[in-house]
Amino acid sequence: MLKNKAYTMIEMLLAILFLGFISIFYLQTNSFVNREAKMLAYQTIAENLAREPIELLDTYGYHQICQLDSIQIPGIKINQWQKMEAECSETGIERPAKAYSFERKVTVTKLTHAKRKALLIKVAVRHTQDRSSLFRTGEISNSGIILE
Amino acid sequence: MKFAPVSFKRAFSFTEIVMVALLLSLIFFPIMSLYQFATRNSMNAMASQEMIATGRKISSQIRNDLKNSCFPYQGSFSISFDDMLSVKTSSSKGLEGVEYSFFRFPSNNKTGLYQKREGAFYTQSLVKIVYRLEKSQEEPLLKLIRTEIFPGMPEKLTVLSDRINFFHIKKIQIRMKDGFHSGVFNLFFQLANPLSKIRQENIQPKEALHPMIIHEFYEVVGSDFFSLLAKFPESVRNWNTSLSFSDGK
Repeated sequence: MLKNKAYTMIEMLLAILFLGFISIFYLQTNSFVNREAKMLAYQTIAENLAREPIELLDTYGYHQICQLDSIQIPGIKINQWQKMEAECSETGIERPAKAYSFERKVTVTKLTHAKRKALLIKVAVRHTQDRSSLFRTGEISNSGIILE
Repeated sequence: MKFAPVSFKRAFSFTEIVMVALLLSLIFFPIMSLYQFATRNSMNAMASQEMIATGRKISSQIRNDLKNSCFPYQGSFSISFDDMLSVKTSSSKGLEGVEYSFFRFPSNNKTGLYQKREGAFYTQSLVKIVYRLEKSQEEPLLKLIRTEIFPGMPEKLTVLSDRINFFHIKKIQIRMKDGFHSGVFNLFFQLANPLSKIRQENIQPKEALHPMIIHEFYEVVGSDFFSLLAKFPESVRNWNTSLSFSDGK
């Protein structure tokens, strides 16, 4: 005599669990791709924001920067976190709209070695909201030396 | 006479089938929606990554060109920052036809190929770089073409992208001591990817309000040549007199 056996509760739960694992894996992969794309976009802007003050200060040159008692360069605040704008009101430099989510700190240190003088420029850029997950180190930094 | 045993198998009732169909649709509809949403997002993210990579490449090329930009000696040392970059605007077609041109030091000068002897002097021939925006097949986007012109050699044309949504190079003036002006170039451009193209390869449209993925790029770059002129305006410029460009016209 044939015995018709239905699915048991355990079989059903195992099937659901299996499907659940596949869905989680799929969604995690998607989430990873999205996060990587977002991070790459932010990283591109942050790298440029970190390069910008070095380029500007290099154009001014050592003497122009040092002739002032306190260093005052349009569009750059020294030794303090400065919120970025999509368009700098002082210089007219145009940046991507997403730049407003970042802040930047420029540090200038005077160096002297064997009668040679120079300025060490350090720039740090961080995201205002997402400091931990977007950049593995929390911020992007860049530095440059301007010789006399 | 023996008969084979008959087993009576009960068929599904209509109610059972309807219930199963209902339950399956309840389970599969959200799963399919989730799958579609995730796939669309994933495709957009991949398109974004590709665009960012292209944008970085374009940005790096233009940055390198502008960093090495210079000006040929034309019988006078009076050069202003405005002379460094010429902009030809298009009167009627918006950005289409806009041209940015400037001179730069040759990128490969190892063999001395670009040095020419003129009398007792060697002159350094410069390369003319032109960035031009043209109509793209993917309207309303534009094509960005880089042309390298070197005297006596065929023009080298490179299409950097055919998905330009906006592009400009701005001159930012910087006031130096003694009233002299220096400056930096501010490059800003947008790359766009029509979502319809992604959908054709994948799934149906849903975001009529966002027909494109747009990424913005910018650079601030100074010319090493002009930076030196601005910092030392009174210095002897014999190095400047050797720079030449002749398009042979």
